[in-house]
Amino acid sequence: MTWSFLNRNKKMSDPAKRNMGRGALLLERIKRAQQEKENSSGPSRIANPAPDRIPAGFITPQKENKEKLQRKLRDLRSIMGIEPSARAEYLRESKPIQTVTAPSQSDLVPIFDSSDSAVSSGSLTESTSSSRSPTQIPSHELDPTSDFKSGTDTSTNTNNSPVRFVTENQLAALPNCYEGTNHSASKSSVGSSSHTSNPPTQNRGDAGTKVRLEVNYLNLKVVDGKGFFEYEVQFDPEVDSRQHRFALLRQLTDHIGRAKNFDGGFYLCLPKRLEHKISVFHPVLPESNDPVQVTLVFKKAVDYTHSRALFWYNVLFKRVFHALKMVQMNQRSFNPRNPTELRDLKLEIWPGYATAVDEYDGGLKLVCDTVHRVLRTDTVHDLIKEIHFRNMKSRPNFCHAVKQAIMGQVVLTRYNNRTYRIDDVDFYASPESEFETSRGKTTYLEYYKRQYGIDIADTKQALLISKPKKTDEWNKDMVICLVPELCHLTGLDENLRKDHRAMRTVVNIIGSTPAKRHKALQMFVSSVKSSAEASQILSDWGLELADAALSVDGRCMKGVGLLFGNSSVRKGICGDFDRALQGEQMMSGAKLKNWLIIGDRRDTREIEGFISTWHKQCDKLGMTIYDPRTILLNQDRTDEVVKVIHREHQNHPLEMVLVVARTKRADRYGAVKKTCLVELGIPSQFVLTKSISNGRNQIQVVQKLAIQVNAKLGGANWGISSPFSNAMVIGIDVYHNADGGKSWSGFVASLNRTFTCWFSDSRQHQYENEIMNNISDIFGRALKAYYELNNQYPDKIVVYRDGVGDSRFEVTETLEIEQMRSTLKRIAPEKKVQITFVIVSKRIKTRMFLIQGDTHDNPPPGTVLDHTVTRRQQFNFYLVSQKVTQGTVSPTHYTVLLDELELGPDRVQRLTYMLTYLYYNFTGPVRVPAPCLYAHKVANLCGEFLKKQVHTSQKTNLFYL
Amino acid sequence: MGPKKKQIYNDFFFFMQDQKAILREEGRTWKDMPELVAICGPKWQLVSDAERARYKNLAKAAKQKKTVQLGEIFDSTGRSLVSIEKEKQTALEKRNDMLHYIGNLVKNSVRNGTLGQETLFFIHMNMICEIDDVRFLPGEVALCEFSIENGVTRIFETFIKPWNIPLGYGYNIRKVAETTHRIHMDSTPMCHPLASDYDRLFKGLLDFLCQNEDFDHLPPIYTLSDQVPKVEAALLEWQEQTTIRKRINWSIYSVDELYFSLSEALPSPRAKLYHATLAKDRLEHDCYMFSQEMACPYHVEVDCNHHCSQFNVQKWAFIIAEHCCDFLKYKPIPGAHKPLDCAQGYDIIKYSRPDLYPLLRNEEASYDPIQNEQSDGRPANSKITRSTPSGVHYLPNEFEKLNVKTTFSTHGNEEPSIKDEDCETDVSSILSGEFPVLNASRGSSSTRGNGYSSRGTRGWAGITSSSSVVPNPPSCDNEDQFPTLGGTRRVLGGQRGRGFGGRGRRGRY
Repeated sequence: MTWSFLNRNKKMSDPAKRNMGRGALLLERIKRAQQEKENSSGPSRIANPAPDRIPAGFITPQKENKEKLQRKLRDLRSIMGIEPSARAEYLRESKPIQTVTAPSQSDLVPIFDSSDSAVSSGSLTESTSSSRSPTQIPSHELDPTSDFKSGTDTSTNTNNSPVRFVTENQLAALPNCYEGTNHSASKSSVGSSSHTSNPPTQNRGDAGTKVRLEVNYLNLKVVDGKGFFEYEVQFDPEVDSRQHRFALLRQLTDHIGRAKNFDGGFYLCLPKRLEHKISVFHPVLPESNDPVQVTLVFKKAVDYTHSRALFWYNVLFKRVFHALKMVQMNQRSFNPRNPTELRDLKLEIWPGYATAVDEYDGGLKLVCDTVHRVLRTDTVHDLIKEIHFRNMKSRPNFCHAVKQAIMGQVVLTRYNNRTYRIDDVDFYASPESEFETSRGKTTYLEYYKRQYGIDIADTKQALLISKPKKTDEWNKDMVICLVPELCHLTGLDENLRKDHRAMRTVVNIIGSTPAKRHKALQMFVSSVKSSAEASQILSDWGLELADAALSVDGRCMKGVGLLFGNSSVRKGICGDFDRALQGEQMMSGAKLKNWLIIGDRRDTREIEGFISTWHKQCDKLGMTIYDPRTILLNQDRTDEVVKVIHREHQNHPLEMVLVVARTKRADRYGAVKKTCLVELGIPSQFVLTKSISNGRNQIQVVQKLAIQVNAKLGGANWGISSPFSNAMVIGIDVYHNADGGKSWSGFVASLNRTFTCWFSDSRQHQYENEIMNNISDIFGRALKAYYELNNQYPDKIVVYRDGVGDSRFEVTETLEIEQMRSTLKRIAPEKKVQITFVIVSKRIKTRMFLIQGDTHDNPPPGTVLDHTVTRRQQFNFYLVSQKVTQGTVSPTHYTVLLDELELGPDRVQRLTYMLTYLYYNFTGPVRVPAPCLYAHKVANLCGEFLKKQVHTSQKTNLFYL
Repeated sequence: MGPKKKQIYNDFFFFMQDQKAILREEGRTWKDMPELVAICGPKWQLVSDAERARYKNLAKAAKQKKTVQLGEIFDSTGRSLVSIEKEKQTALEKRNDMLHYIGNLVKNSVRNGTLGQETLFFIHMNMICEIDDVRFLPGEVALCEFSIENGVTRIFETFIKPWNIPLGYGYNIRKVAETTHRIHMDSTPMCHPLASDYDRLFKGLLDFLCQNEDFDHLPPIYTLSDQVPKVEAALLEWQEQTTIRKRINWSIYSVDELYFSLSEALPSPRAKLYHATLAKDRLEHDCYMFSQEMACPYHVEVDCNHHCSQFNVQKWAFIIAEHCCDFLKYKPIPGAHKPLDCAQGYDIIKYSRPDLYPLLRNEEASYDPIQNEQSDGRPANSKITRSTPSGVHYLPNEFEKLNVKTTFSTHGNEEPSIKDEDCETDVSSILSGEFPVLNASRGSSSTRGNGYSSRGTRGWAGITSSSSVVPNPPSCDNEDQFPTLGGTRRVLGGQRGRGFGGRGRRGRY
């Protein structure tokens, strides 16, 4: 029997223990029931949190589904060779069908009342003495001095004493619903008596102060009587032509209504149920008028939470946008009719929306984010004219300049709203050239006239060549020819980017404030409601859009306590702690004896000035720095720099290299990093002359640099007091090369209790893929490094995994967690290590605004939202950890796939929030937990520059900062 | 479900097919095949020989038809399954041939004690453009002749202007050039007329490899394993551009496998690499990035040494030399076994990456990376004192016994060669005999002490003045250090290098 089951045992016993007064008999029964279940169920199965939290009454179909799913996943592992996207498809299909109707928002049990929030923001003693939670937090889990004090135990945050309501019948069924991870074990069983309105509140925490938030979600209601009814279509005689099939069904509009979803095959879906189970119609074929018998056989009524229904609702909203005359681009819809025009910058900004319909804790919802598209009003033709003006005299120069300027640009053709990358320029062709079509030869002039009604003015212009992407295998040799006049440039060009004033204007429009976003959302609702066509599309399928964005109660966690040098503790830090840093020393300052500064001879003065400031700042931060060896180069050459490093290192082994560079040059950066990190195993630091020269903020720059260098040398800057003893926090991220090629995974694992020492490594993937196949090796090394430092292997492991899409959760779970487990089994077989696995998603459409009176603002760091707009049946939450000064903050979404540590919502949220403060390149909280960002950095460095593993000696330092 | 049983189309089968119709007319029925067989079996015995022959023919035809069909089955990209199978087979055979050859080479030379004298050729190509993973258009080619004893003895290096670039690859070409080798289509060496004289360059390459006219027995050429098919495809296409119609059998082998086999054959267990991928990993290290001597002048000029083809072939040679010289008790010669500007010592890899190659270090027999790095928190290498292996040390006057390197290159303009007045006489006499054109440059006052001074004077078509390229040319003090190198190392011009082949074996002492 594997430990996951043992663990389950323990979980079950916890709520029971709490109710010990009510009888040990009950506990015994639960245990026995579980054991029976375990004995019958054989070897450990992969815990799948998704179907877990459903009421007991619905166990059987779910279980079947789950087994099916697991079987599929097992198969999947054997066919890992298949393409990732195909794999994702496969998994998406295998989602279990949900049979529970979602409660509407009004059904939610309010978790907060004022007394609760007061209690939860207080100290440990207060919360434990509160009337509704009679038990203590398990002491082995928590460090009494930790910041976790404020969080109450997970299982105590429901108002019901759970086990009390469990009947005999339910008890027998109980084990079924606790496969894998479930904290508030008893919650579901309570709900089973009234499952239809069971609010999924298991994963709500209650620490922190209550804040009123608005989220960019709109409730969608399905009107009674409407739904999603699937039919099979039979034609007699058979009709093969898709066109004809559609035509035939169109003739049935009077009988089945206008709204239908027909795939051209056998599948038809209607928003209302037909009178009879089998309906027979006799339409005629359009041309021959032959009668055809069409039979519609009712198959089933699909719940609106089903993936097919959700897919269809998303399609419907595309149609809504079409009805609103908006333009689709990259799955976003833009309004071309009232753009913001910036004439002097030759820019046009289109407002738009990115939407998605999905089912959440609070029911069916539409998430709607404001997006913008910056378009340039100048065409490639304008650009070529300008170049021509500059190169009047020589044609070769002109051709070269045009190629230099245009190749690689992405252009947009407005006639079909598609983008192309320009790969080449054909100076021998013009719009008057002919090309082959299926209807014979035609010129570009004629083609555009006929197809799009466009007259090309300049008939002598060269044509642009775009090579289709590799995915189009069938047309390998084909190239797309574009007419410069019709190609609008996209992206902001270099000159504009450098123009701060212009950029500010653009950013002001794009980076809309919460208030602007709120307004845009309201605009969207009103435009849908006022457009008859759009509202018709929705009402045909019985969808009703809410009038206003959803407002919910979130919580704001209290500030974080950070540990600095000389055992100084700063408590209640919320947001940036630049100021708190002043006067504090680093937790442990590094000693730097033999080090090298390489610079250009022309920068002698700057470097001298830098060194004196550097010494001062390092002293302040508690680092011991000796005078460097300074080498000033006469030539600005990469090989010179590398040579000097090699030579100096051979003369006397270096501890660090600091390169003062005049410009940002990727090749030099790569060469030095390679030499230092791969070949020699010494940390290196780049700094631009510009930023260290005597300026207003020289001291700040040098201070930041010192903090960074301290971390690279293995010193500790600041830490948090870990809530657990002997635990390891892991961050994983994957780097994908922009032009394909192999991916690199970054892996970072904490080695000590204050989270200041990290083991970092990176591995190349076999292909370009997201899921790691090689976690075992790195993880094993991390465990060994941990053992070296602590003389034991960790008991608890918390993993933060970044970069996994929604559809890949299951694969991640089966592959990566399994790899970690087998590694643990191999390396520390006698240990029972618990893993909590959290997936971090940054790219989400969700936004939240703090409502204060009438105004909408960005929520403060530490704001957490874990209900209503969270995914159903998953333990997940949104957290805003970073502080932004302009635009709208975008929350990060966390999904706890596995929680064997039984942290529960409050403590996972708290730990996550605390970890965001530990990124040493920034004195404040960042968007994701620091290990994730570290993993991202290490993967980036290795994948982009090093392309090799780093020297072993550097793996316990933060060499990639 | 078990595998589907194969249908057998033999003569009896066709007999049964005929019988079926007859039996049906007779009104007989059967449940399944075995039953039918039982019915037809006795009848088959009575069939005449002529009849049997007819059925046999039928069966034969059916069999043929079946094999034809297999050739008509295509995969999703339109290739026939037969040809795919064939391709797989040839690839496998090629690989086996290579392993066999390398294995034999190493085994025999170890037996004869000539491991150090074995002449090997390395090739590296910088591809300008790769078209659909089928066509590979090189922009720079470098070959070097190497033996463990003598190190790098000759180098062939040239730029080639790619031919027939299809429309639509302009951006791709530019990006590859920018991110790696910096050989742009409009760069100076590409514009040189010699770069498009495919005939001459190709003959030069062949001459470099072998001396006889008919190129029958070309020695195998080694390159990195993932480059093998690319190099082969590029060479074949290159030949199509020339007038040489003779079919040349290229043997492009993987240098990883060679290096791995060599390491296995070395007399010490410490030298072993254990796997070809480890060998490859070592060969891919950018360990001589600092060297300006190894790269061609163009790449030195654009500050991109480590992407130069000439750099890469030498790098492999040096890495292998560094590995093998210790164990075979050869003295490493700067310029032949390690870069000339490698200040001290030659074991770049050994001193820098003890964690990767623990067994190569002389200090410790075994090495545990974790233990070592934990011992004092500092990089393990920082406490390694470099010790020269006993008996291996070189003297300054070793430089004088250096072998001559010849470079075929399109670097030069009309007066390409830069000669030092006191270069080795025998070399210059041969040169002057072979390359009459080059004599014109004898009067050039420039000396070649290091990369800078030579580069400035040699010049590129289009880039002429030395001061504009190198703002601050270093003084020629270094020349004392390398007295005989000036002018002898690189001989420019696209001439054929016949007569140089034998020089590789010239003794060092």
